[in-house]
Amino acid sequence: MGALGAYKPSMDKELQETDESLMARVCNGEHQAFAVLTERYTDMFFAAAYRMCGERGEAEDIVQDALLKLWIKPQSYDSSRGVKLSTWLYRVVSNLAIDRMRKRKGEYVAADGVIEGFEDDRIKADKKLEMDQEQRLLEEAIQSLPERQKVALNLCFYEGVSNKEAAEILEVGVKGLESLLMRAKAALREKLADYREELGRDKNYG
Amino acid sequence: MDDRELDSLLARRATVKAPKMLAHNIAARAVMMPQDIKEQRGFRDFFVGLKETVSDYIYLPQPVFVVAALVLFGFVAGMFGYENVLVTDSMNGTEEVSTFLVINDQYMASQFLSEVES
Repeated sequence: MGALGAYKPSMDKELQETDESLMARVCNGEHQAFAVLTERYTDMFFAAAYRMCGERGEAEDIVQDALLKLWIKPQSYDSSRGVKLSTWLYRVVSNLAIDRMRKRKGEYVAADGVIEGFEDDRIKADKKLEMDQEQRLLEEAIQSLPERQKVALNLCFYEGVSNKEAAEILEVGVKGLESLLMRAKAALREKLADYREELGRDKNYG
Repeated sequence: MDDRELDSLLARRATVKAPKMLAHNIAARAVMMPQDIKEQRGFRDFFVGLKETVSDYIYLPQPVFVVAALVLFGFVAGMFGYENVLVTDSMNGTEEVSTFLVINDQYMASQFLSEVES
């Protein structure tokens, strides 16, 4: 175990320590404090990054880059500005995700997520198949949205971030955020209606 | 598809879990990485720090930042009286051109006056 075991957050006290206090320790070069922050935020930001880019490998890279940035240059997060660490990390993760989405613009990346939550044996196979297909179509429709609309939708629907906080993360006003959400939902309605029509045709003629 | 139907579909979106050892691996990588904590000083550090701070908050492509930094630098230099700080030697022909135009205008005016007088 040795070195690897040394920074495993094991003490309850540490797990309850505030982000600010942990960041102060990270600024002093304490790996243990960084390990606690990593444990606290990896799952949350992995899910956020995955929802934004739709690919597990890329989501892993994004979370890793964002958290390592916090370790290498802890002074880039300044708590005196009144921004929560989680909000700051959402900004970094969103910007990294937008950056990657722009780089691969034009390429289609199919969502490769492991769909979870359907392990219930009672669900019959055909129902499961239908639900899988619906999930795939929904994921495709969300992934085809413009980057900022996609990020706004993810932050407000799935990350539990308030509208005000999401507006701060995206550097827009609350009205601007609402407009992004409205456009995202209108686009989704249109795309999903098309998909459903297609699905209906497949069922009738397939 | 109405709003309620869309909301219920969005609520059923599948969730993903991070790979089991991801948090551990990130923490382990950090052990091998030295921290870069230093006080910013000097001109270059100021711009590097500024770029990093700005890109934490907004997505900023490199060329946009370079142009914005040059404009800011030119503006600050202008405030201290260095008006041509971003103008290279090859761009300094404006004075000669304006002098020529003035002389040319004077010549045309004198030609016109002499024609009127005669």
